[in-house]
Amino acid sequence: MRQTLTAAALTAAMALGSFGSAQAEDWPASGKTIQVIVPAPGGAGTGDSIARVLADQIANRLKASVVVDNRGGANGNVGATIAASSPADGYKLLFSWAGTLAVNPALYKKLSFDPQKSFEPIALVADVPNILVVNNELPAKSLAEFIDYAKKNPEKLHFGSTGSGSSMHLAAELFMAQTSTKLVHVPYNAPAMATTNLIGNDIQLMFQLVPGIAGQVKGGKVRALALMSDARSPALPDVPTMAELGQPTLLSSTWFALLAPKGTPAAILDKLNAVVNESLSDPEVKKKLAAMGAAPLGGTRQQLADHLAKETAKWGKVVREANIQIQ
Amino acid sequence: MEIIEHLQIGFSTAATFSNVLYCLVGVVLGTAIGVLPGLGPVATIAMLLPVTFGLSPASSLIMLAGIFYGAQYGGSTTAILVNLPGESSSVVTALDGYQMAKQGRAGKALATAALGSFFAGTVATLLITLFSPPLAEIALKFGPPEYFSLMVLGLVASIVLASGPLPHALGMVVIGLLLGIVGTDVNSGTERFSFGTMQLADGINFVVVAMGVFGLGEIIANLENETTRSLMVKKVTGLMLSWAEIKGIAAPVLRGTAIGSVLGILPGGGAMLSSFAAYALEKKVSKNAANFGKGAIEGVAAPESANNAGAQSSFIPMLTLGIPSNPVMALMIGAMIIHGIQPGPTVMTEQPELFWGVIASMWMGNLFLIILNLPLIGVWVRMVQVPYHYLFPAILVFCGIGVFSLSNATLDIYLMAAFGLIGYVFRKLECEPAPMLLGFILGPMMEESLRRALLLSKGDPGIFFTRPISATMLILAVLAMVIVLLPALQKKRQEAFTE
Repeated sequence: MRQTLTAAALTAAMALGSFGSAQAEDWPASGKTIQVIVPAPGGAGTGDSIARVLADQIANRLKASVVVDNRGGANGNVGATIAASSPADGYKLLFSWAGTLAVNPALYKKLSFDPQKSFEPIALVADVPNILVVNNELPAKSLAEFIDYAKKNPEKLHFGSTGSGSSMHLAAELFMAQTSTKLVHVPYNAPAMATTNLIGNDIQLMFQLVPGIAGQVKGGKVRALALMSDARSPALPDVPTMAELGQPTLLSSTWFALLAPKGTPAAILDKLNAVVNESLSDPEVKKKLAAMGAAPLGGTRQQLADHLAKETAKWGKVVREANIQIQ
Repeated sequence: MEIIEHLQIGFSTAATFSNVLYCLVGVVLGTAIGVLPGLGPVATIAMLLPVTFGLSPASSLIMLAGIFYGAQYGGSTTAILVNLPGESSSVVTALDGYQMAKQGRAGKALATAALGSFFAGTVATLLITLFSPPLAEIALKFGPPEYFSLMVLGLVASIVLASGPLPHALGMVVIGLLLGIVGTDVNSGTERFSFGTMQLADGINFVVVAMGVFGLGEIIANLENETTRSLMVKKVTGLMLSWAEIKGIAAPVLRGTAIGSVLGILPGGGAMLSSFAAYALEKKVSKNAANFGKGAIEGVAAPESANNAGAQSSFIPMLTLGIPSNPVMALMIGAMIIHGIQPGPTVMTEQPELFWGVIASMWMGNLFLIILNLPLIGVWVRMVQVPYHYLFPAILVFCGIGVFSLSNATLDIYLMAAFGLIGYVFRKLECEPAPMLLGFILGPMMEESLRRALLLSKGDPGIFFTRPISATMLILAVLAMVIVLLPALQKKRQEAFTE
């Protein structure tokens, strides 16, 4: 009896498996287009650039037609909501990042998608760390001197960000909480004017993202003190990491990941995971990412799920403790 | 002579066969998308970005730059012919340009726009060549207080823009400010007037408002009375400018170029602001001031020169500091990064052939544009003679496509339709939409700068008066206000006396 049951279960499992793989074998069907939804306007920043490099790779490796569908708005919520309610047939994917996936659940009182429940994780793609940069006229030449200076001058130093709850804002909140310093938040709606004001000494520091400031650091217009990542950035190899300077928990980066609507067949997800990992080990792709100041990540689907859970908890705490809320 | 050496490096890059070709492709594409309403350089460059992956960095930047300044040339065409600003910077051109077209002087208006743009483009390129680094320093002097005062000056100038009654203009500015409030507040993250829809969380796009109020409003008004319209376009006279007319526009073109070159350097919509500023200034200093809004050729010459000079000089912060002054420049920076070039102050020294190559290509591009645009005038003018019941559905379709291309959102199309109706109502009430649009652009920037400045000063408004640039601009704003109000007050007093 038990044997028959096992056998039945086995046949059922095999049938299911073959069903799944049959779907995955057909996928991607010729003549159908895979749409990668990017919840940001076209050409906007590193996220869109990485998405386009990845879309190009998926197209070449699967011999399929892949297009990037830009759906910007509301910190990525517009695009993520569209992706969450898209058919789970492998032809709609979501390329999103830390802000929309790990921060927005804490930031917004109500979201029309749940990053951990509305999507199937495919793979982590890349990550871009925050970097502490200060105006050249600031007397502090090192991280230790800076923390010391900030402690002696509470609420005198102003940092720019790209808005309440943005990566640059939260990195600063994390920094203040862990170093017991008080800095004043000055929000901007785009990084360009904040950077201009940083060079012009209207604001004194920023927790910029590496690709947005590497050129100004190299050109000597601002001073970089520390990178909020485990490893040094190839874009700025001379800048030490927070860990090297004795602050191993001051980590902050914007990571990018590929996901699919909930219920997309596992075989398709596996196939896409393999493609992402293959692409990330391609020297050409590595070169392109390095040029953008991004480090390739990759890994299994489970690793993305774990990373998402961990990051959601971490930033949720920062958001709650700093009492940031968006209606 | 260092400068000759630089230009030699530049032209040795820009004047190769393939780069000349990419420059030409860029300006032709730019002209085309400029002519098509709503479809702007941002959407086009974003779409073309992947195509440039295969090109050399210099070729791709030369082409993308060509699209950008080419669009400034093309944008004026529909503004003049059908009162439909193809680009935000050509809104002001529509004010007098369309009136000129109604009087059968469309050809002259288009020629003025092309010649003004050419002159301004050439001069601004010369400025970039000679003074890029010192000019970039100006942008650094503009902190939040300076921006706030600049916006105050801009708002006062917006009242000067209107040719109708003063209370109407003030009311329209206020409506513009209110529309500008829609969206997420940067400081607190609170959504304002978004009615719970995510699509409004980032506010209303300027192009949606401009195309609705100007373009669609005009179409509705024309349909109301088609016969008068077909009468008006039949009598197209002379395409080229007379010597007297060229002499008449010389000074406005020079002033427009100067304003555009300076404002273009500032991050945050310099080119757009410069066309408004140039028009407002011209209206105050011109001997022909009474004709502004009724088809004054100076009202086309000044803003067209200003927006082209501004487009050109907005390259300065991008090329010298790696800071984008508008979304198009942000895309160009993206293109450089993809090619492994780190935009920043080092580009000039590490990649001189790229830096000077792009600048040299602007000289060529402006030349191509004038050669391309002058003969096209004859073609465009004939386009207006197409019967309106064929023309307007085509315009509507292009508007729809253009607006959808902004952010792939259908809500934008509905909004444009709603603003079309509103524009028609404004027309009936004799309220001019230009001051509203300026309020719409300046309001959010003014509010953010105000709050940023007060964050920096810990709530002390003295920051606006102690910083010299800011104080100077506030004084100018007060003076401008007095100039505007004085005639109105005198008139009131005269009326009072006669009674």
